[in-house]
Amino acid sequence: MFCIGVCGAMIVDSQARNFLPSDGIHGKEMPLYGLMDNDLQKDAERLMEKLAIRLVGLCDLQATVHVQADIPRVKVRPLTAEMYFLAPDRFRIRSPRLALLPRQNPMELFEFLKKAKNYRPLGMGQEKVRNQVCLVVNVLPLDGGGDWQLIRLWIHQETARIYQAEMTRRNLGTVEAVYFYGPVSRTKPGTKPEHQDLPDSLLLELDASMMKLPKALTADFHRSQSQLSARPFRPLGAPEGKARIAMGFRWISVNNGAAARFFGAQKRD
Amino acid sequence: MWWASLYNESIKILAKPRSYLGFLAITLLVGVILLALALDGESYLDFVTGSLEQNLMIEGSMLNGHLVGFIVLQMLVVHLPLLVALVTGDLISGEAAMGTLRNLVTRPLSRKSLLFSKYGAAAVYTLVLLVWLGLMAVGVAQWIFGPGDLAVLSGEGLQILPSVEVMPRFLQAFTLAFLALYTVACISVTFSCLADNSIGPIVGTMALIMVFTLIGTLDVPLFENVRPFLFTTHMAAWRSLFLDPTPLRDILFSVGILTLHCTALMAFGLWYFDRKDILT
Repeated sequence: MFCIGVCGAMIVDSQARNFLPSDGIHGKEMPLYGLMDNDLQKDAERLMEKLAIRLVGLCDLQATVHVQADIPRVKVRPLTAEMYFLAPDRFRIRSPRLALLPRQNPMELFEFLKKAKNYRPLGMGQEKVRNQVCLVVNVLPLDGGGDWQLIRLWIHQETARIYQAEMTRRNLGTVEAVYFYGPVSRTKPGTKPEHQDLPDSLLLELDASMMKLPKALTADFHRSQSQLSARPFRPLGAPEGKARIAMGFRWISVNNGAAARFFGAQKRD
Repeated sequence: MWWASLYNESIKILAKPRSYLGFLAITLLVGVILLALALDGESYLDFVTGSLEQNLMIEGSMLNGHLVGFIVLQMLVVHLPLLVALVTGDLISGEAAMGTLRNLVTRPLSRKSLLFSKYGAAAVYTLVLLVWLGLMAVGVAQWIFGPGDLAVLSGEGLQILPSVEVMPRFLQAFTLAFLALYTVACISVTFSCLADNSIGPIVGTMALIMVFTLIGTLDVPLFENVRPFLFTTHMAAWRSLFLDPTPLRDILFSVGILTLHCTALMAFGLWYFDRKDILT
């Protein structure tokens, strides 16, 4: 599972070409699949309800996470860290090395979607994501939505898994996420439904146009020819002005109290 | 006999008060930098990470012993040539000024061997000074701040090196920095052969470094072909050892140029000193 997760994160480069949501959102592509507005809205509500019920079950998670970052003018090698999440808002990635991670933790979206009263889903049409028909749902945060502005989800209609998301927040701007899952057929017998909502890997893309680094902390007199001619380090092929972070997960513990123990121990420290 | 002469020359360096100025200066400078970084290092790093942290979260501390050691080295390597020249520029001219040069060359040791032992003593002094800098910059910084991944900021951007790779790179960097500083030592010892007082070689060495550095930093097409062959261009080559991947070819070129300078300067010094008039 871990290998698949890591590989998924690593191969996202090629898949990422289909990453940006097409311009056919907002209903333009609806006639393609011939859905009526009313049916679409009902489908969206039904899917979101199903999703929310299953996400409620994700409360205490522990995972080993493999992180690869692709940030303009930043060269950092992939690293493996431990991730803990305790609902509603305790999240920590414990890394033995210096890690650059997205400010928005991967569980925040799931946590927000758990509370159906916080948002209103709007069915926008259907689109294919990685050759799978997904329902495009715009999630409009209501008063209790905090700093969430707008969420657009691409949800697989059969499995109710989020395949892609575009999240706009007041503080963090727009972050796009692509979720990769193992096949449902491969899920072990007896696995609870909520476990199926945990992605094997995740690719986040965020705006990096505001990320500016100074040239140096001290004078840099010696710049060799190979340094000057070196190509920028973009391991995930992020487009200009964007940063990408790929995360491959190996879920160690789901709702077994591992995160509660971890955060409890931290509190005692 | 050469070893005995090297030992004597090293003792002579030890006996001069000015030899300790370098150690004192390094201790003070490193102390001040470490204190400043310990008290306000995080805000110093905010200058680098501020814009990154708008969208990203940095897990782990960037301010660690390795980074502090690297910052100290970058700051001090500019000043070290002066500290080296201060002592090595006096090795021959100081003897001439005190009138002991004539006595020195009457010993049953050839002039070449004598001067060679002076070059050797200059190497020993440079090495000890660098080891002291290394202990202060990397050792004490690690003791205060602890180890961690090294974030190197260069013209190409920010690069994060895993902690386990940093110490071997520091060792290699110190070796290369030694070669660069020894080139300075060779210049001042060679200049010292030409003069009869210490001021000339010391000021001459620093003037040469300044002129070459200026030529190296001026972006004029006229100097483009000259720049790669100036020793000052390669004095900061140790920084390249902290790049990933390490530009091995560039580093070897720098080693070649610095070695060539040392060899040429020593050859000229030996040739000149062999013919030097020590009677007047």
